[in-house]
Amino acid sequence: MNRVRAFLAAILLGTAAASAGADTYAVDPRHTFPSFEVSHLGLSTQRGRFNRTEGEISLDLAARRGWVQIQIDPDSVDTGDAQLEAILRSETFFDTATHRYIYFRSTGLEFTGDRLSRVQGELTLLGVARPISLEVASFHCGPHPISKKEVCGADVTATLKRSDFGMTRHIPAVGDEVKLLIQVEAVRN
Amino acid sequence: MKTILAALAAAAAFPALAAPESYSLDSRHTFPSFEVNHLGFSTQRGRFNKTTGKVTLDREAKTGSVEIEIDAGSVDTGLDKLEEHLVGEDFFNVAKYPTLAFKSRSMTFNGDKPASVSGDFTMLGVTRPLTLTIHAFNCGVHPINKKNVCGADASATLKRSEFGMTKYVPGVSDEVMLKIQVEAFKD
Repeated sequence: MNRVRAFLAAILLGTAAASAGADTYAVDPRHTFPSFEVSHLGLSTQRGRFNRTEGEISLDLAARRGWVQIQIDPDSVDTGDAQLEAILRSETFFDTATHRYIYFRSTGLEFTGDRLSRVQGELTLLGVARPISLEVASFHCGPHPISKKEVCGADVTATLKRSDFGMTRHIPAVGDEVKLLIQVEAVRN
Repeated sequence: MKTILAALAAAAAFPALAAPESYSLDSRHTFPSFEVNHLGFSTQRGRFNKTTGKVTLDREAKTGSVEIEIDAGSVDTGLDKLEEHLVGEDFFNVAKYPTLAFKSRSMTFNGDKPASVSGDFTMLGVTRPLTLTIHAFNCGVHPINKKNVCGADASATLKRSEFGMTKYVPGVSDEVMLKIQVEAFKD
């Protein structure tokens, strides 16, 4: 896996190097939290969050291109209910002993003007890779008022069917459709 | 899903409409969460992990009441350092104000389903009016424990400065969006 990732990184870095105006950003794990919503018995929308997310983003706003690589630690799933978290980590859901990470890598970025508005890519969950389209709202870049470093942030949403990744437990009592809400901030390297 | 829908439909068909019913919040499926804007960059979220409360409902008379207590110290953002800051004096000041409370004054209905709950919200010892909008209210029989259960998604907005929580406004937005997933078992 490390070799594959090194290979991918080399390609991605090559792409980045080829475009003069591209900046790379490190995802800020303290302000980047993927959360999810599922329907519970048709009664309420239950929510969860992953606490550990890492990644790298390259953006060339002038050329309107870039790439996104994210890796989420499913062991960090957090719902506020320890018993539920144990079930979610088990093989009936995220099977974290076997699948250490959830991966996202972009295949294409879309811009509205010079603002990032959509990221097409591939999500790998339980070892199954499927296309996913992330909608990017309120994309904004600027200097952080304290650190003075350049920061980009956004609110990202997407929907997926967990059954597409083989996570079928308790469908449909716990909804197959999962809504993702992801707050992202990234600091320019 | 069909079984659940059938169970819900059956419950809807035979509601005990005659009298007010009382419910206790299911703390394992009731989580208030909040959203604030962070420096114009992103929407940061948090959640309270311990919430208790009582609901009464008379769906025929279209009346009801809601009383909720939230343990302010159970705030959870996924980031320990932030949580330490949030429970301190700058924000929830948990040592002095251990609970947040909501107590209804009135409810509106859409048909026999609650549509909104207006009441008083108390935070940092300050009580202000707050209206919760109720989305997707449903009742049914829980498929496993067979108890009568109702659930809903509620939302509201407030300005934290009105409760005296002004730290970092506007870097961290004054406006707070609340999203509350609620389930309650019939007593």
